[in-house]
Amino acid sequence: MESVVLTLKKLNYPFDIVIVDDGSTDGTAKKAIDSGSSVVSHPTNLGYSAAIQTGFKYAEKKNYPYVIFFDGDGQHDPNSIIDMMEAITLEHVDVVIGSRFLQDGDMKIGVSKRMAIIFFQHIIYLTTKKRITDPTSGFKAYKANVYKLFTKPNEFFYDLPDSNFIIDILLRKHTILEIPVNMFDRQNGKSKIHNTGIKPFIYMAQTLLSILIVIIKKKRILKIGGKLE
Amino acid sequence: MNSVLQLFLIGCALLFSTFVIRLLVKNKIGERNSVIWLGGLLIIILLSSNPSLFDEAARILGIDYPPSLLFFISCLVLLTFNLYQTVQITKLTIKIKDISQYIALSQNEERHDSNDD
Repeated sequence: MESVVLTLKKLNYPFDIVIVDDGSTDGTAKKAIDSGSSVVSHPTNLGYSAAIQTGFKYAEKKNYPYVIFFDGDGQHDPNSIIDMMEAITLEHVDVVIGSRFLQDGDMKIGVSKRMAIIFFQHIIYLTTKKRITDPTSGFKAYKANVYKLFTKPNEFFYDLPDSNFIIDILLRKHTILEIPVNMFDRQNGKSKIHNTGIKPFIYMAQTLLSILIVIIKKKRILKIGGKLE
Repeated sequence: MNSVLQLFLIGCALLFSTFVIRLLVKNKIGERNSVIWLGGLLIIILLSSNPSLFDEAARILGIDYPPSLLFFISCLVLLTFNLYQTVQITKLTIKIKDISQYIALSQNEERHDSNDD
């Protein structure tokens, strides 16, 4: 974590760095605060999704035009941040996803995870007619018009914001661009999708259900919108 | 329904009611929740003390053994209550998340204000 922040600071880009700490008990938050970083520390462990939303809320409070999410576990390459920044500021898109599959890399991915990714690529294409190569990537950049949609308690209800979240954004007629980024194997920390036992299946079932709910909600909004017109 | 079973059911329902009321007096259970519990118990007591009602209902529904209707109704009540509890837990989880995020963001702001001074 410290090395990530240090690298980001060394790059000297014109942006604020904020660390969302999800109730860590190993002194991570204190170390980060002592190093002079801006830290938002959950008083208790709230999970990945809540940490993302805290990031959105912080950005809304500061009225940032863009926000880039970067995992602190050493999986994302800080040098790719400049590409993300250029893409979100210069391209006419609302969301940028850093994809590990748009470039040749030596990323080791297990068979089950690879299959899950291919499966969800198809689901996204079926529901939105858009091709997303890396639906599980956490390396994302958002414009204010998109992230501000998800700061309300009932608008960001995902346990795991992956393909379901992407479909939600696309169905709201926002645009997504994928750019190639470098990703490493995790230095520390665990994957959201544990690769053992029954957990990948629960993850898949949960995400599928979540996608279904996104689509039902979208249909309802369209209906109400149609009645108003 | 034989009278021993009838007495047993009424006894259990009364005992359970006293538990609920004691919890209510000690503020360990919300009024809204206890109303549902006590209402359910009242239905059980009424039905157990009028077994003929039960026999008739069971006959209409085609249940050979009337007491199993009692268990079936209890199951439905418990299932509904369980679902209601899950809804409550989800609501509380969202509230806790929002409060925690609010605290986290406020603390962050506080730290920055004190750094600026």
